[in-house]
Amino acid sequence: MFNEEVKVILDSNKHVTIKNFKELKSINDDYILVDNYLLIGSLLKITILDESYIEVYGKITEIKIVD
Amino acid sequence: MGKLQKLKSLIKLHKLFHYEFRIPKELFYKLKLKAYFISSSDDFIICYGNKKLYNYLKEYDILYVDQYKVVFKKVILNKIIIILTFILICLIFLSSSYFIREIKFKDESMYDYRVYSYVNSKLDKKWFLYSLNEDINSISLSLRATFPNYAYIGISKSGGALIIDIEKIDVKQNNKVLKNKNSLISNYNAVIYSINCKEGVVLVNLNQSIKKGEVLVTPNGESGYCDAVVLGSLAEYKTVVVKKEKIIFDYTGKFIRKYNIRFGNNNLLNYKNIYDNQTIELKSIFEIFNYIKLDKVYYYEKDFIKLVYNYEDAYNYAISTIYYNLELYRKSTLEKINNIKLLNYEENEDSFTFFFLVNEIKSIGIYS
Repeated sequence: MFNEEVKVILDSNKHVTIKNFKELKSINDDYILVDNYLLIGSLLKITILDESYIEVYGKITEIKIVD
Repeated sequence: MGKLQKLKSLIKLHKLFHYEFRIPKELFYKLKLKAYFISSSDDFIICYGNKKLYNYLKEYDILYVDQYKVVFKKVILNKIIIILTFILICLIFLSSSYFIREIKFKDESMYDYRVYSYVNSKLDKKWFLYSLNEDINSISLSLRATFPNYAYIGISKSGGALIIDIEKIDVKQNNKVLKNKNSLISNYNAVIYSINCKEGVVLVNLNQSIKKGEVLVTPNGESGYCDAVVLGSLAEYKTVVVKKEKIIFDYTGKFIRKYNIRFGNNNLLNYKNIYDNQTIELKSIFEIFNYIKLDKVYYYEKDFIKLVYNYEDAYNYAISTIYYNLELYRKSTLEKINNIKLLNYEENEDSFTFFFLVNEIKSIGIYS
């Protein structure tokens, strides 16, 4: 209905939530690609995945915006 | 957190994601799923979901594991021995009030093998467990009908124990030795067992064989009285007739329990008649300053009851009447029955007739 903006919330270097994302593109232990946000780290795990909400736990070292 | 709480939270949590799926990566990215604990493993994505997700993924032929089954196997099956033991203990605990572990006498000094055997015959054995094959009240009733030599006989149950309560006939009144001016003569052919002489001249010795009519003790020359009990060992034929049907007035086994509060001498409960014939028994529960008292009140119904004797009951009854007569005419505590031998019996339409040979020690003297 509304084209809401993607929100990436980094609580700590262990927890990231992304709201209003459109596509989950790739999942690995070392990186997760959501829309054009690349979460890099180790032992990454998605704890909750919904249509537009994702919650990631793990050792997050970097969040990159890729094209 | 306790183990039970952990298990509860585990099950509660698993309601959300108790299915574990292995979905090919390509398919996973295509589908917009609601899933939990997502991780990658080679070409698959491992995730967890609920029944809704399971139903949604059914058509894709995806590998899955039902976590409920895993929990059941891990938690329940591993502890199956403990659970079974627990159930068994519960069953034993619940059945302990139904099954009988032992038969015992309330007063062990009143042990009577015949009563014990009679009660034992009323038990059914199932493997190693015993249970009553009759109602406890009807057994008490048949005990009273079969063993009249006791003032009271009845059974009650306390846990797994069957308790036989016996009260002897009070024989003190029969124990008096009356003085008499006549000589004490023997009423039986016997061997003298014991002589207890307070007044008089004893004419016989211990272990002496005497015949019926022989003088045992003569009056004392000074006082002119004779006061003695002479016991003899003898064998006597006795015939006992037992009617097959008999009507007695006894407890029916029905009772009502009520509670009563007393303030001094004022009863809150009116002791009105519940049964036409009844016996009321009070059992005190507690009392405060000897003024406020709480009692349990039992109303036991009494009525005329028709008894039907079979051979065994009639036989036991016949033997009990012999013991009863001994108690009734007892003059000394040394009097006893050594053994009773059944010689013969006859059965008619309405009665059994038993012929016994009774070997006993009893008072043999009568004044004449």
